[in-house]
Amino acid sequence: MESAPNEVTALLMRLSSGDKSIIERIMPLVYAELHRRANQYMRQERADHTLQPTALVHEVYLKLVQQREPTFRNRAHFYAISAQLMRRILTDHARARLATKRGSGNLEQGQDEAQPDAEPLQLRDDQPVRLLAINDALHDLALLDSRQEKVVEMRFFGGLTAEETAEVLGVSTRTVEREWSMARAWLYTRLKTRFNQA
Amino acid sequence: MESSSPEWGQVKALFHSVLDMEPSARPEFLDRQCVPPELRANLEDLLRAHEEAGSFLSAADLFAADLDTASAASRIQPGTLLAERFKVIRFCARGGMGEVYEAEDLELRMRVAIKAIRPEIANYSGMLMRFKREVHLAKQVTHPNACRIFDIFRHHDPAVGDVVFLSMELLSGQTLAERIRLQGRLPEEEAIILLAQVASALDAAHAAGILHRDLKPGNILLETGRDGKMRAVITDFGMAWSGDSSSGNAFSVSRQLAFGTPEFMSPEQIEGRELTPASDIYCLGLVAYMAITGLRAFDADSQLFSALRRLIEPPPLPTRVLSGLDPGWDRLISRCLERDPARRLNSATGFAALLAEMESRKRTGPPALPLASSRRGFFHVRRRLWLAFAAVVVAALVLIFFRRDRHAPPANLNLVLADFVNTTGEAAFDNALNVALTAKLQQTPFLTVMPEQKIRLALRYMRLSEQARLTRHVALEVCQREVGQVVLQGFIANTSTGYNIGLRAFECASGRLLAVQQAPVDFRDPVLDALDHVAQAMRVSLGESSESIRRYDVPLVEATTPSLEAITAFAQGTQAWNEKGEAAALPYFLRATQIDPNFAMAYARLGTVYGNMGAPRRAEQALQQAFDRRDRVTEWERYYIVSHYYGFVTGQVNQEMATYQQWATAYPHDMAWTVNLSVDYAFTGQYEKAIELQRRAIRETPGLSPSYGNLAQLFLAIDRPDEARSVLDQASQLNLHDVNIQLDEYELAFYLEDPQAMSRLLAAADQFPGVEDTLLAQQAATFDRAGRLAQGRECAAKAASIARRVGDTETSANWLAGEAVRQAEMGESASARRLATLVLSTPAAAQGSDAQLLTALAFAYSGDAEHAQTLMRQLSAAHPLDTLIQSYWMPILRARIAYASGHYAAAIDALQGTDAYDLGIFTPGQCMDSAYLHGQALLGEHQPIAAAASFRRILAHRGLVLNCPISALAILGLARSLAQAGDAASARTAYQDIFAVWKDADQTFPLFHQAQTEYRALP
Repeated sequence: MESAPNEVTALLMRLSSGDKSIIERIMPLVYAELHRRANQYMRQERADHTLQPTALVHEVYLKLVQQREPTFRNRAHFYAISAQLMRRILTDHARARLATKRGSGNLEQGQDEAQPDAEPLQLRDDQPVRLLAINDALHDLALLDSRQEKVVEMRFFGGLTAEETAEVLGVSTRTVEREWSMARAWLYTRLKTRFNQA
Repeated sequence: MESSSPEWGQVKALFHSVLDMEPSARPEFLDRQCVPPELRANLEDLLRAHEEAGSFLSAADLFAADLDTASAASRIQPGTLLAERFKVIRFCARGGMGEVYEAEDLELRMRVAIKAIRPEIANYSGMLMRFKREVHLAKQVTHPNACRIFDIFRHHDPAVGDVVFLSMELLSGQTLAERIRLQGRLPEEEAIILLAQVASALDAAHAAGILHRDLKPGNILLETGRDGKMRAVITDFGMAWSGDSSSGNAFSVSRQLAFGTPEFMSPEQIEGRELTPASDIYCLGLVAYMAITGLRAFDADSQLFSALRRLIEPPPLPTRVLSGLDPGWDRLISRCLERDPARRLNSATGFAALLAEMESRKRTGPPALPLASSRRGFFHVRRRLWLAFAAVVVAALVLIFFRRDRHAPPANLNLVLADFVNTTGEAAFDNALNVALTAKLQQTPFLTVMPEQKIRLALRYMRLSEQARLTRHVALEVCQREVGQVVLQGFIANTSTGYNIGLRAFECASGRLLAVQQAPVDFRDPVLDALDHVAQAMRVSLGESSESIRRYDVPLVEATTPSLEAITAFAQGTQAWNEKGEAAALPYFLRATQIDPNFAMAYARLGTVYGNMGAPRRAEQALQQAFDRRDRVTEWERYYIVSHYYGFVTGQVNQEMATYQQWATAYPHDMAWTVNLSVDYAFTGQYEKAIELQRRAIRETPGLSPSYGNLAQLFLAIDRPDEARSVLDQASQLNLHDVNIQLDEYELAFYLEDPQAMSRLLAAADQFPGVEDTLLAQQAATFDRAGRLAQGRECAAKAASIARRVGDTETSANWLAGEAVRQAEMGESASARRLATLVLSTPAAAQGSDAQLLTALAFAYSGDAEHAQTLMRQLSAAHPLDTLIQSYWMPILRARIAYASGHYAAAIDALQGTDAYDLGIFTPGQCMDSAYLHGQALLGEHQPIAAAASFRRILAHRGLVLNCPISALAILGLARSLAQAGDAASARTAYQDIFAVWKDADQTFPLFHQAQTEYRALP
């Protein structure tokens, strides 16, 4: 294989040091890969039928970056952005699932139906609704506390550990854990009345 | 900012404080803090929630059991009848968009492929809408190398939900990806054929407004046809898109979510920017790379790094990883893999054209050396093929790598001259030394100095300015890209007594220093002498044989000029010629000859520049000067001077061709003779040979502007406008806009009957030097042909005045003389004579042979035999050896005079032998005059059938005769022949054809009224 010229090396170093602009340049690529993987997951007949975002992001990370690059120190940064993307992928998927259940869309006329999320969510005990509700509530939380939103996004949607989240946000693990507790409590307060919690 | 309100901050602080406490200790703590009741209630809610939340926000909350219910519906059982029409036979494959099945279309009774669309797309109307739009477009792509999409259907099934599916052409075979995986790279010949098919399909899709978006070897199916031939079929057109619902959330990273395959994404796709046809071209480049090397371009340990390499690195060159490949692949693929879509090869057609060049090379091998021809041609103004500036065109075929075999020194080294390192502070050395060095080095066939055009092209690929300095590093990269072997860099530095001058040679592949030669120069000694010695020593170091060194040993000072100032002017002229064209170069070469009146090569270049600018008289004078000094040059330069002398001055094509032959033998790696020999072939209408040589020139020296113009003109002459277009597109991509190319653009627009394009070209003509008057003269011809003779005269006068304004009186006279000929041909004898007389009254013009010839033609056509014959005598005496004047134009003139006086049989006799040149391309204004006069004379002799054949012959060469009046007059001639033959019906049609050409003709245009009278008289 040809050796990577200096430019790439330099770029990789910037990538390792978490240069945002570089990471952002390749985000569409990461998104595409995450999306593809997520879809694969969702279509595979798996024993547990459970999507593990951590596993997914990690898999994508391994695929894109590969373990041979230990210098990619700022893996957490990659994960953080992946978490954003996972949130988007999962909520999109939830909307699509919701639409499937309702049997939307008339092919012959092909008119564009109202976006599902433009309608009030029905309180139904199924996962897509639940996920979308969490997502909406998280948007509301962002208005009150953007850091808590980030913490939830990374840990819940991105599957980051407290330590990784702390590294990305540049705060202590303890702070992350506290923020997580409060955010989770706040979201739970908002949502408990809407779910038939078992 | 963390918190948006003080209350939130307060609650948060308290929440964090009490979190670590025992629940029982919390109320007391909160009491002590005097928390307002409202806040306290909030806080207690949160604390309660914290205790109750349990598994909330665990992974199970993401998507639990019902995630994959969709997949249950996606597998369709064989035997299922879909939409009451398609019977599923078997499952075939799973793709990005859904599963593929083979099915029987019961309605059309044929096997089709069915693609079931993933439910998350099919069931989401926003996505479905977009998907349907794509399908609607993709349906319109009907091309043998694109998988046909028939239609989109919905199958309603209450049990598993609806299935949306596509019906498509059923294909069998393996994908290109499988083929490469199993059998490795494709043979070049096969790759060329298959890639041409892929490009062709892509072109059709782009024309229909659809992008593929995910072109990759896995989407190209190789199907063996019944004839045993392999067919490449692109599948999944337009299928790779995101299905993104764009629900307006806060993400900004994915502006455009194009879903390709990471390994085959274009840079803009990686970055989420908008995709264009150029994005597919990029993918096509990656596919081509993989097909011929069996390797992935920009391969890396991981997809991310591969993607990064695509964003950062210059395009890879296949010949680097696989020696022995046609270097054409390097050019083709690097043109596709430009990072900037705007700089990429802009169409699949362009891709196909480059492939075709490689194919023809494979088929024919290198062109045979020309045989000395007994026939010969000439040169010309109205539509001319241009002589290449041969000294600049020193390309090479790469034969042997330097390091491979130390014992047997290579026969030819391809070298790049880096810029001189001049630390003396004397600007005089900057330009001059490399030019002198080039002259010294190019005299030996052992070395081939990489031509400027090739270097500039490489610089563009390297994202550097074409004027970038060729530092050692840059030169090494250029050398590696263009597969050279050695970089040579000179240096000159001050010493206490003068200078130290030297040369360093570096091996391109490794950058290793191979040799150094240097010498001290006293202030009083000529620097060029020292350079000469150093260069000689370097030739020895590089392995040139002593015999070769002895043979090619003309000292620099003798070969060029002892004057640094003259050589600087010469260098500037060459540079200006390369960058801005002839007009810009002219003053420098003039200056070089003024500084050193014995500078032979400066005269030779000057002569060629004049020749290309349509000033043959001055060209002759300058080349005569060069010819007289031909003993003071290197052997290489002598070939240049002598061949150009025969070409421009005496017109002896036999001798010219013989010179090229010797040149080719002595310097087989040289390209200098190629273009001009091609021009000789064009004189006698040997288009295929001419095309082959021009193609070779372009192949070896991409960016060589005369070749593009010549090649396009040759293609047009044989009615292959698409190929002409493609060549001109290539030229335009290389930013070449010389007169010749603009002229071709105009002629192509005329050929395609596109008056808007012609107007656009005229409007933009003043952007490039020398173009405006030339295009105006063309427009004059177009007007004349349409019977709009007043406008024709006006345009020609304007062209002449522009040429005169820039001091080019000779060209100015030619524009007027050309107009005189056209006015005469169209029956406006009085105007013709007036213009011809005006031309003759211009002293400078009276000396130019083209103007003389044109004026003679104008007089002969307008019935003024006396004036015509006077001019003929002068011309014949001045050009006794000139084959085209003696063997073509004189007979044409004699025939015309005989015809005018009613001696038809004598006219036919006079034309004997002229048909050998009648399909030639040469100046001034050759336009199948022989066939036309022949037809006219036969009409006079009442031989209408033979006459009609002559006129039809002209009409069959539409791309050759283009907008000259004869191309219209031949229609009238045909109408008259048919009338004379008694075929009134056909005659009527032909008359109507000519009336259509003359629909906007001047009221006073005599031929039109005459033709109408004849038409009315038809039985």
